[in-house]
Amino acid sequence: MHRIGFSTGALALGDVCRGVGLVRDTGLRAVELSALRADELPGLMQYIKTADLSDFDYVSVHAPSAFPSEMEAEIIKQLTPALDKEHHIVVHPDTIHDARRWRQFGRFLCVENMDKRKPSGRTAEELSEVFRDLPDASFCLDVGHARQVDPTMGIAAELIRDFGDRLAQVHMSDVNSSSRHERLNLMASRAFGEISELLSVEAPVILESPLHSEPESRIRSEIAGEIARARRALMGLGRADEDKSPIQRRPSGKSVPDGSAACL
Amino acid sequence: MRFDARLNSPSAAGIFHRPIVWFFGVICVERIMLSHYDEKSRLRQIMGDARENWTNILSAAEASQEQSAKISKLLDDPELPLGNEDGSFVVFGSLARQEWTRGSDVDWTLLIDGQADPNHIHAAHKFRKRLDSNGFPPPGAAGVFGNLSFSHEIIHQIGGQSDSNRNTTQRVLLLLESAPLGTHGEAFERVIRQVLNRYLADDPTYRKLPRFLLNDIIRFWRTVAVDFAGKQRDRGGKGWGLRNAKLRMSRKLVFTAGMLQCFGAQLSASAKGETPGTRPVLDYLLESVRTTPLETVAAACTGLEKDGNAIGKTIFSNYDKFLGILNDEEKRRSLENLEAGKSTDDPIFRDIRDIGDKFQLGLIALLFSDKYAKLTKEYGVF
Repeated sequence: MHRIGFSTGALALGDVCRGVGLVRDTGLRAVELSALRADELPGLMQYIKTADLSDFDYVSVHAPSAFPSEMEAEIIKQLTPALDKEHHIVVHPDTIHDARRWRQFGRFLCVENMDKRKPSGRTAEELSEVFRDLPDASFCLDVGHARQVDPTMGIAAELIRDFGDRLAQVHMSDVNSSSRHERLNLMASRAFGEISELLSVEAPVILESPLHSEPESRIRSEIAGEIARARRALMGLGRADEDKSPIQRRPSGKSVPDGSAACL
Repeated sequence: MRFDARLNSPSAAGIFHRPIVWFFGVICVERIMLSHYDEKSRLRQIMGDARENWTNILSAAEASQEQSAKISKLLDDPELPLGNEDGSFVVFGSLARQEWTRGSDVDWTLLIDGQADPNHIHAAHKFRKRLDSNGFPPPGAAGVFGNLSFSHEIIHQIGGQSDSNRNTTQRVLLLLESAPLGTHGEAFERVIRQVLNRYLADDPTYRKLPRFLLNDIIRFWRTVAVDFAGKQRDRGGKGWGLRNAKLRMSRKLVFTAGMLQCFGAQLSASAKGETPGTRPVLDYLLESVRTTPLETVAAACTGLEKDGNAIGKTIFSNYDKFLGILNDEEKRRSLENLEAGKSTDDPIFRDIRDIGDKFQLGLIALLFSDKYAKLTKEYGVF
């Protein structure tokens, strides 16, 4: 069974401490600490230095999703303590201005596939260029992004085929046509069910479904509901009453590697 | 003639059945639920002044609210919600008009305004199965409802060969009798705005009165009337009595409400002294389409300088009787099974015909009142 975790940004935007608390309260053992905006990063890194996260068996840090090239060196410097803690650092390919600077993170640098808004990093072919420059980097498969680029999930299958041996974690949520993350629904769950058997169970699935609800009692039930939906999707239950997926019948061309070697 | 724009404004009626919260320029659609006519509604005002009690109208509105809540619950299945921001489940017909009676079916569509996704059809199938298993009668046989519809066709194909009967019906009914259910009304709101914008932006000669839109509403009404004859032939007379009753009453109501919305846009802009432009008219129409047809007609009646209540009484007391007949399972079944050749001897149909005649007289009195006669003649005939 896949490990499921949550992004703190999905639960408590800009409040990593509360986000971690909410994830911890659910008993999940995987968490992604989110600093999607550059101004959130110093606070997050300070939190990492002091917080006891030993009860989690997977921790990653989502680096800012946009910043100018002049800030790249400073961002990398700020992220370095995460490497000391052996946390994966999830980056968007378009924020890698000079790949040489990022090589120091080795396999803990985790490159994510992009949504359709971005000019690159969306397909296996586009991501192969990134991994050519960062040969040791690992891979974060965002199934919501992949589905937005190709709702048939063919591109997701290709990404797993080509980079499954690097797969460190999975992002899961619905992503609408405006590229906004949304909670899982029937269409997304069905689509994710198409490729769930191709995903290594070693790679934790980090939910990015936005659940910024008040009061706290409500968000807890929403978290539980979203986890249940994710599990159903990963078990392929969203399509249980329908025909089998054409993707599963299609020969992949390459065997899907055992992802365990690439994971923590 | 003095025109009170405030009274004529649908917003003054306070009966918006789609509570939409606007903040920071973003539409946030709360759980969308139809609400019955409250004390501020024009219909209730006329009912009170006339010392009548239109229980069939009020109970149909209440039943609509209950059914909408049930359907919204089906859509918001905690295991797998059926929508997202790109797709709204939209209901039409009696449910959207707040006229739910026993035997009403659920005319619905999954309206997509976003990226095409093969899985949309599965959401539609699942919703259909859930409606079936929860005892909701399916939409009619015409195939207009009960499936997917796409914003591109609805917005781009107005007129011309590609504007099919189905497309015209869905587009015009989106404006005249529709409501999104469940938590995702975003796609619905976007499409409504885009459609209205097309009618206004593509009408370079209009001055306050949205004539392109009005022509489409009139065309739709005539199409419904022609299709009535077509269905009589195609279906060998099956369902003739009920279709005839609806044509005389609910279809005519929707058409009249559509005309009044267009006229209201012109009158409202004139009363405010606004210069011609799409924005005030668009704003007016956006508010109007959130109002039920009955309330639109009621607001028009209360906006008349004289005889508004008497006209309203004629219209609504007869419409109340019509809903009473539809809500009577035996009478409804009798109408459903009635063939045209036997209609003259059928007591229920005779009632319907009498009610329909009086209802139409009321509508004619409204449309040819001092306030609307000029517009009706100038724009309704040619």
